[in-house]
Amino acid sequence: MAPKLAMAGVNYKTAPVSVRERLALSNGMLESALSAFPSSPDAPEVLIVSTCNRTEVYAAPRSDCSAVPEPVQLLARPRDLRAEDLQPYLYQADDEAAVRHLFAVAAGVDSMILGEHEVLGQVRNAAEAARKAGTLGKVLDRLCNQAIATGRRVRTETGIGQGALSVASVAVELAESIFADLTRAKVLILGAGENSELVAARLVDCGVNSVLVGNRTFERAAQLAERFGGRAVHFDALDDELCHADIVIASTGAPHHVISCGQVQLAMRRRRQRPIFCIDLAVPRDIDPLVGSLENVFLYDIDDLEQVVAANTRERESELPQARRIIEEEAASFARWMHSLDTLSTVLALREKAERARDEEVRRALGRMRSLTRGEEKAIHDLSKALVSRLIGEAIEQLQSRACDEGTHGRVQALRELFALDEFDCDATRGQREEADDDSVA
Amino acid sequence: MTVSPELLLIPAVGYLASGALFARHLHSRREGSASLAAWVAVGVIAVHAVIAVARFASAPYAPFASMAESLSLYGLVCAALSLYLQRTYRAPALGCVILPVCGLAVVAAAMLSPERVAALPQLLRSPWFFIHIPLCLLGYVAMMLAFGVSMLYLLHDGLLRHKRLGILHRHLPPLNMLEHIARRLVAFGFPVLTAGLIAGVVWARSLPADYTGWHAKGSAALVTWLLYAAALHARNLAGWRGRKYSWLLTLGFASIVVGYVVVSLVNPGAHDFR
Repeated sequence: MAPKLAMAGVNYKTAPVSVRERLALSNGMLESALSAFPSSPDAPEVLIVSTCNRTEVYAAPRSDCSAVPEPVQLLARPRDLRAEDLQPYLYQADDEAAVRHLFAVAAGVDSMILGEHEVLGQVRNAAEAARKAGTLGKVLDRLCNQAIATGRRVRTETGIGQGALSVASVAVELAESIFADLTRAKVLILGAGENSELVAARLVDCGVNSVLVGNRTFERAAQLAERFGGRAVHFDALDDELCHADIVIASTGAPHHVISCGQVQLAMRRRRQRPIFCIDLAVPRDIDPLVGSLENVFLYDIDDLEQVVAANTRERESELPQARRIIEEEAASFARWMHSLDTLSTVLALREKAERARDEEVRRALGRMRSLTRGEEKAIHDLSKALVSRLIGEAIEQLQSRACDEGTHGRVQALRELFALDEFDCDATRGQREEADDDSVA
Repeated sequence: MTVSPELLLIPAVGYLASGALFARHLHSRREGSASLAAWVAVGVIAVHAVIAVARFASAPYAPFASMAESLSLYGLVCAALSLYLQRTYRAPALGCVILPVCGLAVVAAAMLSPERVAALPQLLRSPWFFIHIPLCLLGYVAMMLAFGVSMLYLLHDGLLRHKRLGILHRHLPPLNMLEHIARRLVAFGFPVLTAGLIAGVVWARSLPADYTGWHAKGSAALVTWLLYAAALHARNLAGWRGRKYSWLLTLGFASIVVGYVVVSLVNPGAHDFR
């Protein structure tokens, strides 16, 4: 049986960046790529999800007998690529597997950084672009909404998106658990290395607006300070600056401790024991480890931070089974909805087919019996209607009342085959289309 | 109609249960688990308020005329204010410290309450009654909340110091916010408590007989007052912050428990002036 929904795509696991970059579509390009697809009643529904790690196309036929679109072709089309060239990098899925895949993408389960939040916004943007371009129909519209809801549900009901996953973001998380308001915190950077710059940049992103930079060469300190809108300080003035700093980031290349326990003790006295958060990113360490034992001083070295990253990664991974359970639940609910659509169209087709057969047979019979009164003709019509209704009415009622039951899908398929409803549907649709064409010509 | 004091066991168990729900939230990754606990607590507070009002309606003088009634009212006010603090500072962790203490206070109230609310001795029927007791109770409420906040501070500080970061750490408010809340509570509670104690002394002096001599409850109250005065000084003058300050507030609350509950249980008549 032909799929009702199909997807194809490439992602960071299947394709190198050289392939991904050729397929990637930015937000602005997404809409124009989608508007190139026809949005007529016969054209398939199309959704393109494109991020730096993946480009995926989802497609569904708009009616039961319109051609099932080939998502690989749709994927290749916006960039004028050949589908065969993409084949080695491609993954494809149909129906429930495709639904499950999009739900997993929206939940961040399929992301390079497990549980990342951006992807949910990207799925939302993809849906919005497709909606604007008119390529979303009944099926994909519901699919998008449910994918976004699933992404949200997974993030609120599991811890898959909790806990920082990089040294810089762990440092920020720690700073936020000591200082409620980072905008008031003063940061002192010692050593203008790449690591300290990364951490400082994240802190500034999170609201810190007072940055002091001390470095062996003053010029480099001034450069970095300028980048963060801060001030460069001389190493000699360290004791003075230490008593003003709430967060100290040290990553100098010095072979010995740059900050001693005595210095911090003195600073703590001068700052009236206000808490201080020291981040030592240097190897060998810049801050005397004894500093960590002082009251109201919180010292984390690079190993501590990396251990937190590792623990958070493990914690997120441990949430995977729970996340997958939610995705399964949501995919099953979507599949039930799809089946209920099938049931509805089957019921309509069955009724239509029975009605046509009845009408034909009654006409034929009436043609042979010419001397009937109007009343007798009506009686024959009523008889035929009653017969049809008794024969198929009960089956239809059963189907409708159990539209969402487990085994209904199988019964619907059997019914479609037994009564050859697939061919009937397409004939009927073709007939209607021809009638519509005739009307428009007339 | 009399309302049986055993009914107070319902809110008491409710407070313990909602405290447990808040504790569960601290170990849960689900974001909605705190609001469930908060709604349960709101329900329990409403039930408690109804029972308390029904009890006082039968023998009204003031809802804090005996040790048991005042404990029940104390639990009610503490629970309500702790919910307010939680909402204001987004600190659901506070619930798992404060609500169980409220639960215990209400259990004690249920155990100690007589079947009917006792009438107030004639001697104590004075306007001072409505100044001394509410002020002291309000001061105790503020100090208990400050104690809850200090407990959270000590817990969070310990986790950060020992680098045990995880779900629990993520659910706790930032250290300097906890310290700020505790400081404000003490800054409010200390003058209120001081005024309450002064009112008590003035009232005792205005009575026909001399009741200003030393007795256990008065002495315990003085110790409590001195401890909080010391905490305020230590913080403002000697720069005691963080853990040291939190331990002082914990000690202060322990002395409140001794002066308010233990002394009254060991020596029931000491503060009755009969």
